[in-house]
Amino acid sequence: MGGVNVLGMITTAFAAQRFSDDPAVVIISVSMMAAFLFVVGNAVVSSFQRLADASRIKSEFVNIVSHQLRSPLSAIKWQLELMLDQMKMVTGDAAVTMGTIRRQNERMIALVNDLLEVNRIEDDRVILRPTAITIDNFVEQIANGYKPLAEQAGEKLVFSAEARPLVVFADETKLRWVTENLIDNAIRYTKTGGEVTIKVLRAKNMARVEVTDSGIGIPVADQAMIFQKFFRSENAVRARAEGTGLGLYLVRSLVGAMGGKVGFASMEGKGSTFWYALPLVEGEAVVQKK
Amino acid sequence: MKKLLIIEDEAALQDALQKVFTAEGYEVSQAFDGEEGIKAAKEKKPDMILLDLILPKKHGFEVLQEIKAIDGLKDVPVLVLTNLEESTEVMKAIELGARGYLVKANYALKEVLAKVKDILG
Repeated sequence: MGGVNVLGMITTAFAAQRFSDDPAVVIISVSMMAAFLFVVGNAVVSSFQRLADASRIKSEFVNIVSHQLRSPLSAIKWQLELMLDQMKMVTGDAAVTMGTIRRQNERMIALVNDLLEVNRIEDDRVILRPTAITIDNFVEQIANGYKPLAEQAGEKLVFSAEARPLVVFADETKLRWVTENLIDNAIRYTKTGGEVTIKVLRAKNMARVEVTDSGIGIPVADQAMIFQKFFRSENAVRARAEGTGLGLYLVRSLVGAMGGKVGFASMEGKGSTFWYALPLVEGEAVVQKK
Repeated sequence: MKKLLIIEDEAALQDALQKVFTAEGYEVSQAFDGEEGIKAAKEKKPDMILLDLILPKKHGFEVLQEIKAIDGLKDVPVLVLTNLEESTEVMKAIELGARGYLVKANYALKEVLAKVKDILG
């Protein structure tokens, strides 16, 4: 604020000199401007300080609560695992109930993990460990892992790669999380009998991964907010599809941190295509051109 | 029979770990705080230690540091089993000589067991 003060005082001095030759008027004008800038400057600085303090306290609070929640959540997870091992022959209603408890436990763990990741992103604490990844193979493997879940939901899951191999430089764990999140969403928002297609293609100097579903789609009015934190589209809430509104926010933040882009196209009632694109590793791009 | 020492203050987690490793034929000792953990390590001379980080009386990092300074224990592999996962913590654990680092909430008991078997060879 010091620079602004000095600049304000000089400007005021020049302006006052143009309107009056009396040095007393100039001195009074400059003094008044200095006092005004001092008061306003202090108010702005202390507001920013208060905001920074509030943000730090919120961040610490989320961090502590999330870590504290993980202890009982992991205790439930492990005890449940033991119980399910002992009750291998459990059938009927009991099996459904146990399955529900397990899914809800995993859902809470995922929510805590997401909150911690959001906190890391907002505090600029995300550390990426990039390695060269052959993205067509990488995504195919993940897609294959989702086939049982799609089958269970009565949906068809199809993978295709239009160009191979495509190599990108990215953090494997984060990229896995991003890819899984998009496929998981596609399966979750598609009804029985629907289809989820996953495509890997080359788009100029980028490798692009597209996940298309024949699900509920996103209403036009909600589309601008879809990547915002905690936002859930009105029809997703109505369909009672599980979700926290953090997934797509994290997808965009993480892909952005890895130097990539995200996007989507959607029509309510017809389905959506979500995609991310990452720069191709130069050497590999040259190989592709030959 | 391989000897395992579990240093963990949460009873429900201790119980689950103890059950799964005993069923697999391991001889399991338990300690519920950092100081007790170091004492048990000296007495039991385990083949491997599972170590939580947030512990009463002595933090897991201090326990790890002390164990790595004791003759006869410094080569015992330590697997950190915690719910903290900031990269600074993971890096510190590895720098102090931990052989592995697992976030409890993100791993099933079977996966913890597989990791222990992998480290013990």
